[in-house]
Amino acid sequence: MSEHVVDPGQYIKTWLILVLLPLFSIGAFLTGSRPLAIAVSVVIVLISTVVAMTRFMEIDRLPSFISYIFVTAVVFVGLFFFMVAPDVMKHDGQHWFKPAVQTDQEAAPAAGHR
Amino acid sequence: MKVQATSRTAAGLPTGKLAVWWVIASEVPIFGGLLASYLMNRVANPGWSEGLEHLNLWIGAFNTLVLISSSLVVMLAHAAAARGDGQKAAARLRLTAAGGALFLCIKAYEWSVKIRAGHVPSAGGLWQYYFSATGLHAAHILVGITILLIVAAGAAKGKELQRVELIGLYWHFVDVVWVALFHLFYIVR
Amino acid sequence: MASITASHGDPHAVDHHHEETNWFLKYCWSTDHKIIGLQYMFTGMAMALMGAFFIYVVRMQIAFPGHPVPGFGIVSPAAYNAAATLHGSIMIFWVAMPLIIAAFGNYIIPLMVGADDMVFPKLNRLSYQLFLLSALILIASFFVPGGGFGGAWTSYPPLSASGAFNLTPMGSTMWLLAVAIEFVAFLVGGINFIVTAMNARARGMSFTDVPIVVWMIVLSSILFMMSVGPLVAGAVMLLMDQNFGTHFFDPKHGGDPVLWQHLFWFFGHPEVYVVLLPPMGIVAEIIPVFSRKKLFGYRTIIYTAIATGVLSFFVWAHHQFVAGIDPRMANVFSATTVLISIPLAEMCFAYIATLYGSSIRFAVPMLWALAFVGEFLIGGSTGIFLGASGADIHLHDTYFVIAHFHYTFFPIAIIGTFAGLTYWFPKMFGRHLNEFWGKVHFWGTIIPFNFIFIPMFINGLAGDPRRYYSYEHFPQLATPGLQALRMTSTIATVVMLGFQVVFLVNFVVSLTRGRKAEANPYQANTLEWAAASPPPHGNFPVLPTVYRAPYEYNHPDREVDYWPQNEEPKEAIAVVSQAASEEATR
Repeated sequence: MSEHVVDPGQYIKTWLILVLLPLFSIGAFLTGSRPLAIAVSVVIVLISTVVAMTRFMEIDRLPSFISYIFVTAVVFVGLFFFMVAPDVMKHDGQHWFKPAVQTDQEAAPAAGHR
Repeated sequence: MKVQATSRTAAGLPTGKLAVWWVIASEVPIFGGLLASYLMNRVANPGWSEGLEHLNLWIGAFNTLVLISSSLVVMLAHAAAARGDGQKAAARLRLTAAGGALFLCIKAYEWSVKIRAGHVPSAGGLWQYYFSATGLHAAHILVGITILLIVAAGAAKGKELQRVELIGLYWHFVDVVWVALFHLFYIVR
Repeated sequence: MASITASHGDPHAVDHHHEETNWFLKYCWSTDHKIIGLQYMFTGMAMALMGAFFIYVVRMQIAFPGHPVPGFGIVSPAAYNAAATLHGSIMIFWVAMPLIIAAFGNYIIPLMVGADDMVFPKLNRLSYQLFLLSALILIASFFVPGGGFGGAWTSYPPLSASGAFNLTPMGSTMWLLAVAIEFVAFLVGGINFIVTAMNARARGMSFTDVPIVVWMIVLSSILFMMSVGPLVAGAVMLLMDQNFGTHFFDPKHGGDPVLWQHLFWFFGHPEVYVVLLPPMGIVAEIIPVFSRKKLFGYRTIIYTAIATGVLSFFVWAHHQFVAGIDPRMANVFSATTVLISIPLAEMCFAYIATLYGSSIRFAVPMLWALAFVGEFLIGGSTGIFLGASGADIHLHDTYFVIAHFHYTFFPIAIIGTFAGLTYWFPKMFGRHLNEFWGKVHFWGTIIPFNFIFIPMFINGLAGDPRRYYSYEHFPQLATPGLQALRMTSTIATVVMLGFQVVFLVNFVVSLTRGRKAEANPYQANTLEWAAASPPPHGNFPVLPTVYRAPYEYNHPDREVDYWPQNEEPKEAIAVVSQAASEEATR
C-alpha cells in the first residue's frame, strides 16, 4: 500500500496551519476594509488549498499528470468566468437595459454607449 | 469475484486513487461553474452586501474548524489503516462522519434562522446563490458521510483498507471547497 | 439475446458461471463489461426508434400541415414542440452517447487493452442502471399532465424556467432530472473507461500501442468530465428556478437568461466533440483493416484529437452570436470556431492518406467508414459558414443550421454506430451479418439521408426558421418551391426509416442463423480479435502480452499482411520489434 512513513505528528502540524490561516482572513474582515478582505482571502484560500493538497492529499507524491489534470480543471473554470463575466455583467447595451438592476444601483446607468 | 484489471497499475498509481482524483477533477468545474456564476453576479450587484451582513461570521468560522478537524481525523484513520489496524481506522472514520454530521446540524440551524427571518432562496439574488452553493456542498458532505460509514464497516472487518485513504481524499476536497465558500460568503461581503 | 458463455478452462470463473445461473442474474444484474455494453446498445437502439418516431411526426406535420399523421393523429403546436425537443434530446443523450461511447466503450476497451474486465465492474453496472433510470424518467415525462417538455433540447429560460410559459411544469422538471441523471451515469462510466485504459493495459502495451478508438473514447470521457460541470451547476439553478421560486435566470428579478446559455453551451460545444471523437476512432480502426495498410499518422491523429478537445472549450459562444452577446466577444469566437476545423480536417486527411495506395475491400463496415468521412466533411465545411458571425446573423436558427448539424451528427451517431456494429458484430455475437442485405441497408440509408438534408440547406438560406410547426402563415416561405423541398425531406425521411427495417431483420436473423464467425475473421491486429467470438467471461484464457503497435499491416518483413499485437516475435525479427517497441515506449 503506502511505502512512505505515515507520521501523525505531521498531520497535526498541518491541521494547526489550516486552522490558523483563516484567522488572518477573519482579522482582515474585522478591519472593515473590503479590498483588504478580498486580497487576504485570495491569498489564504490559495495557501490553504496548496497546504491541504500537498500535506493531506499528498498530490506531490503522485505522478505529475495528476497535478496537471487538477490545474487544467481550475484553468477551465477561470476560462468560463473571464469569458462569461463581461457578458453577464453588462447592464445595458444598444437598445436594451436590465430593468431589475437599475433599482440596485445608486448611480444612474450610462445611456447605451454603443 | 475479483477482476484482475482492478489491481493493475500501468499508469503508476493504484486504480482507486486514480479514479478518485478524476472524480475530484470533474467536481472542480461543478462547484467552479456555480461559484463563478455567483461571483460575476455579485460583482455586478454591490447591493448584495446588505444581505450578506446577516450571515454570522462566527458560526461559519466554527464550521470551518469542525471540517478541518474532521480532515485531521480522517488522516489519522489513514495512518491506522496503513499500519493494518482496521478497527482503529473504522473508529476514526466514524468520528470523521460525526464531524460531518455536526457540520450539517450547524448548517441546518443557520438555514432555519435565515428562513425564519424571511431570507429564502426565492427572496432574490444573493440568497438563491447562498442556498444553492451551501446546499450543493452539504449534499457532497452527506454523500461523504455515507461513504465514510460504508468504508468504516469494511475496515472494521479488516477488508479493503486502501479505501480509507481514498475516502479521505474525497473528504479533503470537500473541506477545501468549504474553505473557499467560507471566504466567498462570510469574509468577502 | 447474445450467448456469452463461460469457457470451461476459465481461471476467473470462481463462482457462478459453471451451472446455469438464472436469466435475471446473468443478463440484467451482470457486472461483465460485455453484457453491460450490450445493455447500453439495446437501450440506445430502442431509444433511437423513439427518437425516429418523433421526427417522423415532425416531418409529416411540416409536409402536410394540419393533416393527421398516420400513427399519431393531429399534431398540435404543443405536441410539435415536444416532438422536436424530444427528438433532439433523445438522439444526443439517449442514442448517440450510449451507443458510440458506452456500448462500444464498454464492450471493446477491456478487450482491446487486453484486460479481463473494466477496473470497476460494479460501478459499471451502476452507471448503466443510472442511465436506464434517466431514460425511464424521460419516457415517464410523456405521460404526466401537460405532457413532455417542449422547450427545445437547449431548454432556454425564461421559457424553460416557468410552467406558466412552457405549459409543461412537470414535464420540464422531469426532462431536466433525466438529463442530470444521464450526466451522472456518464461521469461514472467515464471513470471506468479512463482508469481501465490508463491502468489495466496489457503487459508491453505502451501508450502508443493503444488502438486509436480507445484513445478517442478516453479523450472523449475526459472532455465530458471537464466540461459538464458548469451545466450541472446550471441544471441545479434551473431546477430551483422551476420549483423553488428562485430567479437565477429571470430578468424581471435581476437574473440573466444569457447566463444559462453560457452555462449550457460551455458544455454543449465540447459535448459535440465528446460524441465526435469515438466514431472517428471507430473509423480509424476499420480503415486499416479493410485497406490492409498501416494507419497514417498515429501520433498526429492523437495530437489533433487533443488539440480539438482543448480548442473546443474556446468556441462555445458561436451558438450565441445573435443572443445579444458583446460583438467584440463574437469576433473572438468566430476566429476560434474557424480554427477548430483545422485539426478535424487533419484527422480526416490522415484517414484519406491511409487509403492512398492501399488495397481497399468494400465490405459493409468499410462502406460505413468511408461514408462517415465524406458526409462529415460536408458537415464540417458548412459549419464554417455558421462560424462566421456575420453570415450567422442570417443563418442562425434556420434550417441551414439543422442541415449542418445533421451532416455532422448523423455520421457521428448513426453512421458511426453502424460502422462499429457491422465491424464488431462477429466478435459480439459469434456470427456474421448478411453482407448483401448490409449493403442494401447502407445505400438505403445514405442516399435518402442526403435527400433529407440537402434541401434543408436551401430552405435555410431562403429563411425557413427552425422549430416552427408550419409555414402556412408566412407568404415568403409558403411558396410551392420551398414546400416541395420540405416534402422531399419528409419523403426521404420515411424512405430512410423504412430501410432501417432491413437492418433490424438482418440483425435479428443473423443472431441465430448467421454464418458462424471465427475469432479473427477480418485478419486484424488488435487484441479483441485474439479473444474468442464471442469472448467468454474473463475474455482471455491467459491475459495477452503486447509486442507491437496496432496497425502493422503489410509489413515488409512478413509473409502475411497482418501482424497481431500479441503474436510472439520470432527470433530473427525479435531484435527489430524490440527496438521498435523501445522507440515506441520512449
